[in-house]
Amino acid sequence: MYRYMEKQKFIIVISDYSTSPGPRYCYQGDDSGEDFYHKVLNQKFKEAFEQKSELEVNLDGPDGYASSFLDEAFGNLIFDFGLENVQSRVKIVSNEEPEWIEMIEKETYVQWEQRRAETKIPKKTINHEEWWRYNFATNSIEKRRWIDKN
Amino acid sequence: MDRQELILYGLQISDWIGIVEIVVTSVIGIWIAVAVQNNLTKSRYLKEYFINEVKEIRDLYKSFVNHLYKGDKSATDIKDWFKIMSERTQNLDKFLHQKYKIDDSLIKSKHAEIQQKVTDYDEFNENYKEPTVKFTNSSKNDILKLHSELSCVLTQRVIDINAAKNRRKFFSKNK
Repeated sequence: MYRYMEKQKFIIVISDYSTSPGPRYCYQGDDSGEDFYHKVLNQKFKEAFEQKSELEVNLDGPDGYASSFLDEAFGNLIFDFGLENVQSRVKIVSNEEPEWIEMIEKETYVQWEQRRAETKIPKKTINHEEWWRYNFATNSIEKRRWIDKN
Repeated sequence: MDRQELILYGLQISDWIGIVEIVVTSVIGIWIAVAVQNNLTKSRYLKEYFINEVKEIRDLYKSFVNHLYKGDKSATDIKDWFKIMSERTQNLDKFLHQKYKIDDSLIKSKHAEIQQKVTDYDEFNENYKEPTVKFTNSSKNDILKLHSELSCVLTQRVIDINAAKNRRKFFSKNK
């Protein structure tokens, strides 16, 4: 699902998670953006963050994306870690559909950072296991179930 | 050279010069006509190919939007179709830019906008597991508007291709 490379670079290849990524929320279908965030992206970003490494997310391979999948996955990352932390660590790669990179970086990041600033709680459609979040007050990361099913 | 050697078949030197001039001029004329015609034919053929590709994208989109209106496509079908069309529009824009230096993102940008909008609708996500997705009238209006904008972009592309001049070989080889 994810690979570790020399030079402390972490890589997530989304096609290793699913060859057919699904909708936005878990209840809407398999392999949703919500599910991908909680099963893969949150943990892998935390590891890259701790080691001050880059996290490369490769979008190529699956049979296509719904914009809602990518928005939910990367949006939650922004909500939990903040725009600056994510921008400085995450590199999104796609030769097949580079337009997704533009959407994520120019729309999702901005909208979810705004949402984080306004503390508009993201929707969780199942009770997830504890996940990581950056605590801006203590400058550290903590693991907890931050939001129950809502 | 002996002056008498050039006086052959009763023709003077000046006559021979005239004949040679006529032959050379004719050969150059024929060569120019053939070469230019060949280039024009090749250029026209390529333009027709690109224009047909634009027309095909237009027809595929028209049929796809009809299906969205009827609500007889599944969410995964919609998602897959968008990906296939992404590659096609990306390639067309790339080659148009390489060959004619036409702005390389007009079609794929509009396509991406439609793809992002349609796959973000609540109806698309809420009916992801269902065999078909029925869009609301409001979403259908949005789709119609975007489809109309895409049609304008495609028409503009046909105009651009027709008006385009080939890029010089030096540049095309190095791109």
